[in-house]
Amino acid sequence: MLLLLLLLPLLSGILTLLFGFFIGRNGAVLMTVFNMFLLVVLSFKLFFDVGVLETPISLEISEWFSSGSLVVNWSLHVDALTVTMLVVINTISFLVHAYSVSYMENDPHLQRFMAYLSLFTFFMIVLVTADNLVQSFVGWEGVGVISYLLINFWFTRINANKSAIKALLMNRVGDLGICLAMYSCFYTFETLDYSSIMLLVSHSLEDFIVLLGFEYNAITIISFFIFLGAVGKSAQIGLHTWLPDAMEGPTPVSALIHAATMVTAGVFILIRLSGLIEYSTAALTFITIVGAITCFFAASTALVQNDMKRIIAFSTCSQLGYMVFACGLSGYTVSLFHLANHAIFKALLFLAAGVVIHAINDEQDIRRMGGLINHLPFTYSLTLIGSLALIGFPYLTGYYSKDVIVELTIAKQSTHGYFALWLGSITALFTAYYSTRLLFYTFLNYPNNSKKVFKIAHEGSYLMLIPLFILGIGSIYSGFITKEIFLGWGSTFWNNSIFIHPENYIIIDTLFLPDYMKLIPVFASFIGIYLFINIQILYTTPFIKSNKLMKEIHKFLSNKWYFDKIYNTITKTITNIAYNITYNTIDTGYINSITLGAIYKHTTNINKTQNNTSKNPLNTLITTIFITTTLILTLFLIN
Amino acid sequence: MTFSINPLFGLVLFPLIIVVHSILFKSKLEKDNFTKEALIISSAITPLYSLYCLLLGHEDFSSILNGYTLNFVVSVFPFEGIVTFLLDKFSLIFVVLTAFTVHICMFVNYNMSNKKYVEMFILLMLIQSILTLAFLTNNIIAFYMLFELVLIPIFFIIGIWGSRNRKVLAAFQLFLYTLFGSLFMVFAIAYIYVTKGTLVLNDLIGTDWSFLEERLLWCAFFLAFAIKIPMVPFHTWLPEAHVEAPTSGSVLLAALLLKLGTFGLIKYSLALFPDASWYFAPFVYLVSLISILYSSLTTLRQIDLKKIIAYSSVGHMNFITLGIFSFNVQGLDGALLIMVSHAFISSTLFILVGSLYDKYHTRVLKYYRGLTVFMPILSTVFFIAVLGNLSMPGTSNFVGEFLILIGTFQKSPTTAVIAGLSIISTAAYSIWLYNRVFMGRLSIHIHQTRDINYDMTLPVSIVLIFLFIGLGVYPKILLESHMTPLLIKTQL
Repeated sequence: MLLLLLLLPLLSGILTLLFGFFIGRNGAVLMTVFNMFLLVVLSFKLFFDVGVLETPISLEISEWFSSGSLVVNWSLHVDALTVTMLVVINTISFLVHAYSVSYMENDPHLQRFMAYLSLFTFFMIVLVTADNLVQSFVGWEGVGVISYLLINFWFTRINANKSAIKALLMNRVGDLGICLAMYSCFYTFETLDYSSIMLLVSHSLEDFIVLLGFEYNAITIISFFIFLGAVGKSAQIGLHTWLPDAMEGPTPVSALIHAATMVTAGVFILIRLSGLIEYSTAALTFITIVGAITCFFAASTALVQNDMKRIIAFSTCSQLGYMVFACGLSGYTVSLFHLANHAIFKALLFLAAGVVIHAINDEQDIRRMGGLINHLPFTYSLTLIGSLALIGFPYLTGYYSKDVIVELTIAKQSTHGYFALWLGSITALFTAYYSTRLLFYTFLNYPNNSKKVFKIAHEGSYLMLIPLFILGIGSIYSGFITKEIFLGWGSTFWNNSIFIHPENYIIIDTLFLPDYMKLIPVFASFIGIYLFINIQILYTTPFIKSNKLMKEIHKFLSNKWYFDKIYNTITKTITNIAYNITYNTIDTGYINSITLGAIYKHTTNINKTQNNTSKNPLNTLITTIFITTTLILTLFLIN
Repeated sequence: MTFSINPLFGLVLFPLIIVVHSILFKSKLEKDNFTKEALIISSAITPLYSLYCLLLGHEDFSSILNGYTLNFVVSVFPFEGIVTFLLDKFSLIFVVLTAFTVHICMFVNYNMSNKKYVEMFILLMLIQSILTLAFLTNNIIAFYMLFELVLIPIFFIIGIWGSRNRKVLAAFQLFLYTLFGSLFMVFAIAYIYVTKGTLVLNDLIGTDWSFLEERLLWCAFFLAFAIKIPMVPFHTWLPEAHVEAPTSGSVLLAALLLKLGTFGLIKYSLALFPDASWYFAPFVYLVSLISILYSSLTTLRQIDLKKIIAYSSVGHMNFITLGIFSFNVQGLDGALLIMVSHAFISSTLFILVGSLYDKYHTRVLKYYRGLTVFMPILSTVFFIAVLGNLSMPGTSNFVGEFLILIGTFQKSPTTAVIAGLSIISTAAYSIWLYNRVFMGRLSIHIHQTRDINYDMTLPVSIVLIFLFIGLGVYPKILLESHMTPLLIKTQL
């Protein structure tokens, strides 16, 4: 049964990809969607077996490669962490599959699209079910490559090409981190299995690795490398630029990859290796700080964006920041809880955005929308649910996890904890602000597009709306239902799949915080909504528009903190070096003038004057070399 | 199992017999209607036979440098006992690779006229016999001679079948570079013979050299091999030769000739001069790192399709030297794996680029864009090959690179970290290449043609893809050849 988990999406993906022409559109749709449905059933069954009944499963399929003391197997390890991820991935993936059938129905390459989606799910499952780092890396790289293909799905568009390349390369920087983590793990522990690493960590606390002449603690350096990987995949600050650009792909892709699955891989790997990271205080602190900054940065950028999907993308980035700094504060369970919740309401938001974009002639700029509440009432209500869940409105899904994350920062009682508290709370405010802005501009504002567009505006088909409805129900109830399983005091659900060092075990402390502290994010959200209404609807604060400082801040934010600009300059410099220095100056310059110059003179002479070959100095040279070598050889052989 | 007849006879003689026969019946073959089919079948004999030896005989010659057996020593030279051939699994892998690549080349050349096809066949079989001997020989001077001899057929392949006038220049450059390097090697060999009185590798392993002697000899050998690998700054002949060579010439160069360098490093430098190898390891790391970074930088801005693949070859080949000089099992296993996988992957890329060249007669990247629109199959196959090139897990390149870097990390973490940067750069140039050729709006410079499903390119590249993905998923076949005996024997 476990093997089906891998085989179903792999086979349906590859068959649809290679033989899509023969099985036709309906065949492709039926095959992939039905397979995904089976996967959902399967993963819920596994959730019951492994999670609820608390029986982790390990299955060794075969040896992949071994060399010396290094042995890497193809094997599956399914524990509580894995099944949670599986349920999230497969449910969202199934809904996205169903949604895409309708969303992409006019696209001639529907089969290819469905195949990519299935293959993507396959690699994601490989990533979460692996029992060693190398096998995880297969999934890790696989999702990167499939996301390249998915973003590049409409491959004739230059913007799609650029974003796809950017996504792949930014992810590769993160992959470098995971690779280095694997090498240093093997250097330290002589193994790459998760379970063996967890066992060995406490015995290797004093080990060190020498890099560039400096000694580093092995555990810390491995944690940093792992975190570099997580930064790449989970779009933390520095390597986040691919995520907003990836919105060039079709909307279902954004819902699947950039909300629910691929971007959570980084958080997943942090949780998976919790047993290692927990022993490095430096790494934990660093993770908290980077997570908090990402959280703040992305939310602040989302305030001024005008592309509907880009706002949601930055919001994703910011929520990932929450998850990452929760990991840094040792709240792995909370982080995973937020991951699951976020997957539901963010997929809902993306899919709803897809309906909107579909409805009004592929317009994505929120300034050219408005008044859609009359045309898309159902989508509006679901977007509202999603947004409320996102801003942590009490008793909706997002509330349960975001609240606990902010509580963790207080309970941590440390500098980086308070740092995260401040940034996290301000982010909650920003989140409310941009969510309301999105809702207002899209649905409530005065209509800002031509009449023609609004005449054709229509609600999506049932196939698009039913997944939305299911996700909407999830956004309302799932947090409430699963809270006690994931976070409950004394819940044994995790069953050793997550390790928290006793010194860092602060999740209990959050239960005893005073009420006003627990309500900080909720208050912040309300302030955010209030500010939006005041600033952008009622214009009670006109000074913001005329203020020069505000203009500068706006420019800074709408340029996304100038990250793209800096990276473009760096890339340009590197490619210029590649051409001007290495190729032009050295290769075809110095080296060729030494070696080729002489040859060139004579070979061109050969071409011109065929008769003169015997007098050619080059031939003489070669003949001389031959004669001398033969002479020497015969001399020695006669000896 | 054991063989009743020494398999070396077959391995050495088959290609030679075929060469002699095809030269004798050349004029007849040129006229026959089924020449191509006949020649393809005849070129299939050696790969099948050597594969049979590799798969069935692995208990008998399971290790490098007769770690366990010396059963198959034959002397086929007039000088009795001077030139010996030794069949161990390490060499046999390369014999299989040689035979197989030549067989693939026969399919690649399928569109040539009968006359050209026969001439090419003779040259290819000549290369195969020379390389087979070079891989199997256990005698330094024989290796040197074969190492040089293989230049002659490749010189003709580039010089005659190349595409532009510049081909003469490229052929001369290739020739002179290798000749220059091996000049020092031949002096070193002469010195060895004078001082030790033998040139048989097994007798020389473990001999005592003074440290100065050993270092000088190592340098002489290394120069010859470094030019062949090639390492920066001796690499300029490679892109030049690749660009000018016909497709099968490029395949041979990338898949086989470059491997002679790394093969020689493992079999001769490491085994003969272990102390000097140890002493020079940091130097080799430095040169390899420079080569890896330098070549991947240079690749970024090339606009000739073949030059891109050629420069990326430089990067991959220098990973192999990193692995070899990490002196541990992981590094050496990874080196062997990359040697084989680079042969498959770069061959696939060269064949695909060759088919593009046959269609449009240009290799300049700027003319291509958006080919996916009417060539989805070529696009898919090319994408998989590009994934191999950027060492995506699941392809053999990944396992090789992974093992090499793990091995290097044991020796020097800093080196591994810097070499790891190529994870980013290989992805950059590979995916950029793919993107510029196959994605985007259709270029106005090219007319629509058939996809590759009606010529030989498709089956050939699919076979190669199956091979490198198969090796990536199940690389045990190659990793079983146990590099440990070499390490034990040379006390590294």
